[in-house]
Amino acid sequence: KVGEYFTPVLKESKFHETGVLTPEEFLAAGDHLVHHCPSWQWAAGSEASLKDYLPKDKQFLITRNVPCYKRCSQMMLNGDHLEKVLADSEGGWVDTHHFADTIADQVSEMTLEEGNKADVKAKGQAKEALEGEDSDQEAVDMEDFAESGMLEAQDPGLVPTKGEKDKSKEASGGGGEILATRTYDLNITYDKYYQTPRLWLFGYDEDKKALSMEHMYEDFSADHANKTITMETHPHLPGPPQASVHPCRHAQVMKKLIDQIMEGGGELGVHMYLIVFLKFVQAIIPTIEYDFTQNFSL
Amino acid sequence: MVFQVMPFTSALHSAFWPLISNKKLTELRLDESPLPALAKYANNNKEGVPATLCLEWDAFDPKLLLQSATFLAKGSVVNTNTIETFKTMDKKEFLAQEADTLWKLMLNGEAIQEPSRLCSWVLLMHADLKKYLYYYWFAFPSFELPGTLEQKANPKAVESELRLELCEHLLKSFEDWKRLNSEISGFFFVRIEESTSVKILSLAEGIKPGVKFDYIGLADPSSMDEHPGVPLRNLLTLLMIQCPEKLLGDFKVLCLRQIRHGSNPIGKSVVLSMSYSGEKLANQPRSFGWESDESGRMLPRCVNMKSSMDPQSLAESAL
Repeated sequence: KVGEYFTPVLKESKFHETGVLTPEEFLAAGDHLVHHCPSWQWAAGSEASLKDYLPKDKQFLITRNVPCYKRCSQMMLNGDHLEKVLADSEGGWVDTHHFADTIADQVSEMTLEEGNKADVKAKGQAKEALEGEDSDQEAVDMEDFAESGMLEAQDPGLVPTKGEKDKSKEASGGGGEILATRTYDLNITYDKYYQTPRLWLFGYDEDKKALSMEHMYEDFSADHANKTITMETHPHLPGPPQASVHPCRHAQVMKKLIDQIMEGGGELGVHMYLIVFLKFVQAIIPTIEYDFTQNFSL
Repeated sequence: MVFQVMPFTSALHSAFWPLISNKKLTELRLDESPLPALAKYANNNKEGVPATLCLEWDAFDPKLLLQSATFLAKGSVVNTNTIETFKTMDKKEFLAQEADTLWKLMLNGEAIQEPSRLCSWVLLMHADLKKYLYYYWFAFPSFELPGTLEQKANPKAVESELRLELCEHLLKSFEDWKRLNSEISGFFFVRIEESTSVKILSLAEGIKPGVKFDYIGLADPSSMDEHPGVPLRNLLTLLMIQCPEKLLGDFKVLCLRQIRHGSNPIGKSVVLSMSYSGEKLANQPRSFGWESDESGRMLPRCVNMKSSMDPQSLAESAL
């Protein structure tokens, strides 16, 4: 925080030398992303946290309700051998993109039946884990709140939700049911200290309740979960700390990619920054299916 | 065939709870009267995800910035002082009153001028500020549709109804219209003027006698091919009250979803063929609205924010 305060706003482009961004370049790259992937949009955030180096209505980027059908562990089991590690000195970024398609296929093939079973099981485990770990968290029995006559309040004009369906044990007539899946809201902010974009994650469980950090870890690649993802105060939003991908190595990776592309005789325009960025952070959150244009290949 | 809509699912951002807690401590204090608030929904929900109605950090900010493909739903928060009030309050009566308010807005035409109130919602809650426990129950008041209203066939993909070029024009006209309208709304009428031009009419314009349109339109939060989203029900109820003659016989509804399918930017949109043979809706129909809990039961929910709001827990996890 203090470091950020004393860091002057980067004025001159150093993108090709070091892989960092000026706020103007962040803006241009953001506009480019919004244009090509309209599920990403600019947001203003809280008025108290306005950053004067960015326009009022374009403070950070947001995409909501991004599905995350599987946990990382489920994915790694069958995807391990397909991972391709991008040449990098230490650790390395894992390029998982080329098997992302397979996952999407699997998910669409996955029948609802299976999805439900897996979900119920996962939830059972999650509940056990929760009760085990957080003994200080008071379990609240909502049955206490049951009221007579409320069953009539159920609306016949609505597509039954997962729970209602389970209860009535109705034979599903194929489709016509809401899939239970985790979803994420993602934000990209400009990090003044590291002079790079920074990705923030806010997860909801299958019932649209906020995911705890422990549960979110299931959606981060094991290589990165503990060292790359941190809980910090969002620069534009009030409220509790949120999960974010620490930006300390973003510029380095970006520089590497710029060089790789240069060697191949190409040139990486600074407006492409966020699309490339989203591609490389996918290694960290491989099961979160957010939108970025597909026509860019490394 | 059975006309069923995809319900809203409430989604509360973690920033909402500190916001309401702060309001309770500094402004509301012991006041239990409804607090106007703004929720958002989107019409670009990917297949399989729930149609969420989000309450976020800007729930009380009248100047909040809406992203494209995002729409406003005006509702209110009722925060009870004690858990007993929350528990013992007559929930049916509470909802009946909310439904009555909505009915009056439709009847006196205010809902036409302010269509974001058609997606009405109310959050009944109690905040246990010491334990960081929040009990809450969402309701989305809505009316049962009469049997004289029928869905004639399964929803049709927009592509089989309108050419790609027209879909592109439609989206552009819609975006332009949205930009020019101060009261941003997810409800509108569509008129195909020529083979290359699409006109979007506001509710107020389209409802006027003699004005013709081809489709009744709504920004549709549903992510299911077979079902439109729940806001359609209140829109249809409003039209049956205000201009039933425009529905008489067959009519079409365009459920606009700003999600790409192939090269079509609104390719996931669907068109409903419906018919109406009733009269002007005069008496308030049965109303519904309480959201069922995680297991489909008619129960409120509870969220524990201790780990992310309690200074002590935060300090421990920061080590």
